[in-house]
Amino acid sequence: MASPSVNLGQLLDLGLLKRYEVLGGEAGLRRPVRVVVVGSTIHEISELAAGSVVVFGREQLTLDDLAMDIAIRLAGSAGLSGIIAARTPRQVPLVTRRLADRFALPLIGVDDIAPAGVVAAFDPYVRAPEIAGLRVLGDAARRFQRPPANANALTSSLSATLGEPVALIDAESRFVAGDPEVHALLGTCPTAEELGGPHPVAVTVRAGEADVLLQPVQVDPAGLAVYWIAVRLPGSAAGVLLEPIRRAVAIAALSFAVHVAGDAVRVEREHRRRSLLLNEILEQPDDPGRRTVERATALGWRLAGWHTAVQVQVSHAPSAVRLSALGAELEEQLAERGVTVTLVERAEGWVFWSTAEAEADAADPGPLTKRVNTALAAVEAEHPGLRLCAGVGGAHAGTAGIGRSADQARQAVLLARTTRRPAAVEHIDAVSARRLLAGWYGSAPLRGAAADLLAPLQDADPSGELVRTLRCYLDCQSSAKAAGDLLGVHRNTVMQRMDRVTQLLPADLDDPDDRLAVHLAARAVDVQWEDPA
Amino acid sequence: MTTPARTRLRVGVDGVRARAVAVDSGGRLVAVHRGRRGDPPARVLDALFRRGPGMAPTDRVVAVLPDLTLAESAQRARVGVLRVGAPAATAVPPLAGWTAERAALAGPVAMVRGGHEYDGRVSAPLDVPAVAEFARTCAGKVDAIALTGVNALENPEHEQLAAAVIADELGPDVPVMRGAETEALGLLERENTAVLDAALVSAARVRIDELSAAVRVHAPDAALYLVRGDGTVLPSLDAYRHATAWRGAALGGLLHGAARLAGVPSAIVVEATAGRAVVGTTLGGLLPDSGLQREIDGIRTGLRAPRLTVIHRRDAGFTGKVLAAIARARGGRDELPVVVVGERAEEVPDPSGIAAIRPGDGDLAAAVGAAVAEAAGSVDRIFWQGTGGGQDSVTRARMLALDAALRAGADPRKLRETPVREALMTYVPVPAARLQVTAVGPLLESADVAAVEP
Repeated sequence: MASPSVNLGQLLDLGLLKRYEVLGGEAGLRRPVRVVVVGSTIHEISELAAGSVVVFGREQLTLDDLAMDIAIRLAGSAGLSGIIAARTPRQVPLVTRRLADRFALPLIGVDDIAPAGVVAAFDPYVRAPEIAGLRVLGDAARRFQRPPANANALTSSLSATLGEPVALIDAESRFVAGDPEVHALLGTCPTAEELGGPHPVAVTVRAGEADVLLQPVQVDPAGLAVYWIAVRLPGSAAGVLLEPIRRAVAIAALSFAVHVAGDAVRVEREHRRRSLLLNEILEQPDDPGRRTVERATALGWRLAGWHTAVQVQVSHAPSAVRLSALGAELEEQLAERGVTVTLVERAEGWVFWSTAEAEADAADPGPLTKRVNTALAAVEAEHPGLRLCAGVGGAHAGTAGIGRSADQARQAVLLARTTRRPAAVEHIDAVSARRLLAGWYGSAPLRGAAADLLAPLQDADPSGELVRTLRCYLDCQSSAKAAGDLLGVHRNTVMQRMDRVTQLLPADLDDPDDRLAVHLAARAVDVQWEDPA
Repeated sequence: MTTPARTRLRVGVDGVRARAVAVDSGGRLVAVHRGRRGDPPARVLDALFRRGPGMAPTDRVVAVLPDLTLAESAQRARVGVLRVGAPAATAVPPLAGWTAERAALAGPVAMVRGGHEYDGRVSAPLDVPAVAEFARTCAGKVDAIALTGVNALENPEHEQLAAAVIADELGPDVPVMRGAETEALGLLERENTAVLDAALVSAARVRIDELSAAVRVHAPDAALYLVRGDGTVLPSLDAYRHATAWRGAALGGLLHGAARLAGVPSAIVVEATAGRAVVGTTLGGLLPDSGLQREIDGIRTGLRAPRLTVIHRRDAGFTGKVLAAIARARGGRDELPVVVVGERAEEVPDPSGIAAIRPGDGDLAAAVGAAVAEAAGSVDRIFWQGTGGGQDSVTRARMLALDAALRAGADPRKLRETPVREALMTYVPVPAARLQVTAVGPLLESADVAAVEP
């Protein structure tokens, strides 16, 4: 087709006709429409050009008119693209509808018809569909001159521009704002991998009965999509009428990206402020400056009282998870569990602390540990593949207590990391033996020695299977069966691997000292430690 | 926009001789089925489709059905007869020419005030309450209504109005046959035709439903037509209401089909069978009119009969009479070829000075005639020459004929018209003329939806 053209189906979908009914010839709704004309007599139909749509006024021809059959035959013969005429209270004979079907000639019935009005409404779309699209584009450009204030503003504004339902979803296909039906329509259509893929581009997906346009919102033009805008496309949005909608959605996406980026900068700045302040407090615990105290108070931090610090770390994160946003999510989840705190970003994760008036209140860490645990689990559930762990320090008094408790929390988090459980939380006070271990794990030279001890196993089996089996076997008090159950392999496999390990290891597992050293090494290996010194 | 359409088959069924053929758009025979005489048309059609034409889409199925007669009393509908014409046209009451026995078949009969003058003016206002009263008398007693208005061809208003009143009273299940649906000058002829059509409506429905069920099974997108007595088509939905119109289809279809088989546009056609020989003429897709009106069961109808000569074999001098009939039919048109078909075709000698064409598949003539049948529309009525003068009437007559042909299914781009025959009426007080014109042309094919894609 040389010139872009619209068909009658698209024109009807534009909603220019009020209360119409397709009475027959539906197959012909895809025929291109070249011109829309007012009809005067039925015999004139045979003189119209192929591709015309003829509109009859109530005086000229109504749908139950006997002459309608002739009109349909003439139109079918002349290759017309449709007849629009008035309905009457009498039903349109089935014969007439069948005839329209037979010639694939769309027969459109309307209650109230002013032929000149119909022609005037359709004409711009028929003659220059591109120009009609400019209306949508202009509207989009005007509305999205300023970034929308939030996700809801984006969806409602875009929906008003396009006249179609719009939803905002995140990169993991979760509903964020707008029309939930559009999100429901998508179902599992675009998979999380597609949405979170490295080169997001606008796509149209078939979802049930409708087409849905997905437009990525990218803060970094070369980066991943942080959100996707989903628009349910009307049937008319095809060919030349689709392009303006796509561009309008792209404008909205760009505008929303500006909002998201601005948000991110604001949050970043806030975090930096908090983390600098915490550094100041930790560096001068005995004599914090007046300014420092003022700023801390402004943030709602209490320097006096008994502090219990918690450190949270990410042990493993899939690429799709935005780490900068996790802090806010954690705060939310903790707040839901009654722990209202401000997370401070540190090099090795996030730190927060709760403050009590008396030591007695702060002494029992059980409830806090439990809450942190469930909060971590909730965040992990939101992001498949994410692993978090946390350490809880002891309760310490005064400004200096914050630092002391934070140090303990950092040691505890090292322990938590070694357990490899989901949402692991360890308290420094729970077992004194743990403290002993924390000290040991915290020492870089000792960890180096541990790595050397296990080096032959690592060399023989870079996948780490042997080390894991060894650790599990020792954890299970040398029970091959229990280790096998835990690893999901057969007892004999464990025995076989242990034979191999015994051959490879420069240590004798029957010797209690060697055995202890190997067990410690196996637990410490391949954890990236922060050197406490 | 439209790519050259794929070939679409036209299927012809000869329900009298139990033959069915499928013809492609170029007129070539694609499939043939020869059944046993007496096989129902639906079974013949079914056998043809099982044989093969399923591979190409079928555009249409055109069938020759055996004539229906009132004698088939099992399916005869009870008819209410109403004439709109009092007080002008009551001299001869409805069903006057019918034998007492036949007239007894009808239900309530009534005449009400109404009708028009010859020029379309109202002669008496329509007595709507009387029409409603008549409908109520008929309720539960009749299966169909025959309704005829005086001069309803000129102005069908009262007929239409009365039909609407009756339909309101009796509901859509009781068909109302209007006299003006038949193009005939006489009130009685139109009325008789309407009564016969109404009486045969149930029988016609059974036949057509059987056939269309078979069509739906094998070719759901195909349109179904019947062959009329003049060999042109009648859309199946109209055929329910006009059982009389497809009388004589077996011969009408045969005349066209024989010429088609012989590869000539016009011909004298002789069908020679064991019992008789029939001599007829086809000229460019039309059968010359005999000028007589068809009588059905001894009742004069408004249907025009084609010019045919039937010679019975038991008649003395059979061969000589056949040759004489051929000579008469040629009537000086020496260029007209003679086509002989039928099981005893070889018994008809060549007429002097011309070699008769005896096509190989002569027994398929009527089926082929059905498959390639055209649609026609005729006008034969008196036009009162009002202010527009004679030319105006001629234009109107031509438009009416064209519309009728279109309704029958003709392709408006391929219509041919006969010259308008004009007979001035000298015995009426205003200038008037009887105009006869026929438009005929091939059927409009259904749209190839695949080719509609933009």
